[in-house]
Amino acid sequence: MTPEIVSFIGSAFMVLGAFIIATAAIGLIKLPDVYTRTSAVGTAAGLGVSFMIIGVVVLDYSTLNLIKGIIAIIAQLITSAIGSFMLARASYMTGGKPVETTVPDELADQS
Amino acid sequence: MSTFTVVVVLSLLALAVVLAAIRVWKGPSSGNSAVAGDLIFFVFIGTVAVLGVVFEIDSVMDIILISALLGFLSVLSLARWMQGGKR
Amino acid sequence: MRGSFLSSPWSLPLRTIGFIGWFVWQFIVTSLQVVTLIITPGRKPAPGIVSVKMDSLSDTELTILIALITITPDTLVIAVDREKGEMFVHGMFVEGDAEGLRVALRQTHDRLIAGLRRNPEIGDSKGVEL
Repeated sequence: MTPEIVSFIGSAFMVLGAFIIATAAIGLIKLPDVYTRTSAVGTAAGLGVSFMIIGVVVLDYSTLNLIKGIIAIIAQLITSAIGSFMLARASYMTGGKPVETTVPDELADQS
Repeated sequence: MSTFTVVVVLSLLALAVVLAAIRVWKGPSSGNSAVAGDLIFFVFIGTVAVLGVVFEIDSVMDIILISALLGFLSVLSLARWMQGGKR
Repeated sequence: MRGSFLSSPWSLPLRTIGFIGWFVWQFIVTSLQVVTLIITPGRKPAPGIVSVKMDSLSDTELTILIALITITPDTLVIAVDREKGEMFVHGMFVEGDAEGLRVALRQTHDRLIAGLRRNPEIGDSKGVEL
C-alpha cells in the first residue's frame, strides 16, 4: 500500500473516533437522565477511544505498537465497563431516579 | 496527517470538552458530573493520541496504555466517594 | 456429529473465538445505534429497566457477563443481587418491550456459556472458575 492510502485510512479512523466522542458529548446534553447519559459515554469509551488507538497504530505502524494498541483497547474496554457499572450503581444507591419515560422500571417496582 | 485533518479532529475534541464541561457544571447530581468527567478523560486520551502522532512522539502508545489503566482508578474512587462509604 | 465436535480438543478455543467475534460485531452495531439516536434531531430514547434471573453462573462468569452487558452501550447493569442471582439492566431501546430485552440478554448469557465452558450443556457442568 502506498503511504498516501495508509495515511488516509489512519486519518479516517482518527476523525471517526473524534466524531464519536463529540457525539457522546452531545448526548450528555441531550439525553434526559444519568443512566442514558452513561450509555452515551459508553460509545465514546468503547468505539471512540478504540478508533483513535487504531488510528495511531495505522499512522505510526510497528509490531510493538500493534501489540501495545491491542492491549490498550482491551484494557480500555474492561476498565470502562467496570467504571460505568460502578457509576450507575453509585447513582442508583444515592437515589438517582431514572427519567419518567423509563417503561418498565422493574427496579422501582421491586423496592 | 494533513493539517486540515488535525484541525478537524482537535475541533471535534474541543467541542466534546466544552459540552462535557457544561454537564459537569450543571449537574444536577454528582453522578451526572462524574459521567461527564469520565468523558473529559477520554477526550484527553484522544488528544494525546493526535498530538503524539503530529509531533512524532515515540512513547505515545505507552502513554495511552497507562492512561487507560489509570483512568479506571479515578472512576472507581469517584463512585466510592459518591456512595459515601455505603456498599 | 455435534457430539464429536464438542469432544474434540479444538472445540473450546474455536467456540471462544466465535463468541468474541459475535460480541465485537454486536458491540459495533449497538454503538452505532446509540450514535444514530443521538445525532438524529428530535428523537428521544425509550429506556427501560428490567430484572433478569441469572442463576447457574459461577462468580467469574457473572462478572464477565456484567462487564459484557455494560460494554455494549445500549445496555447497562445498574444493580446485582448475588444471593438471588438477579440483576437489573437498563436498556436504551426498550420501548415498553421488557420481554424482548430479557430474551436478548438470555441469548448473550447462553452464548457466553457456550463460549466459556468445556461442556456447554447448561446445568450439566460446573461453571468456569479462575
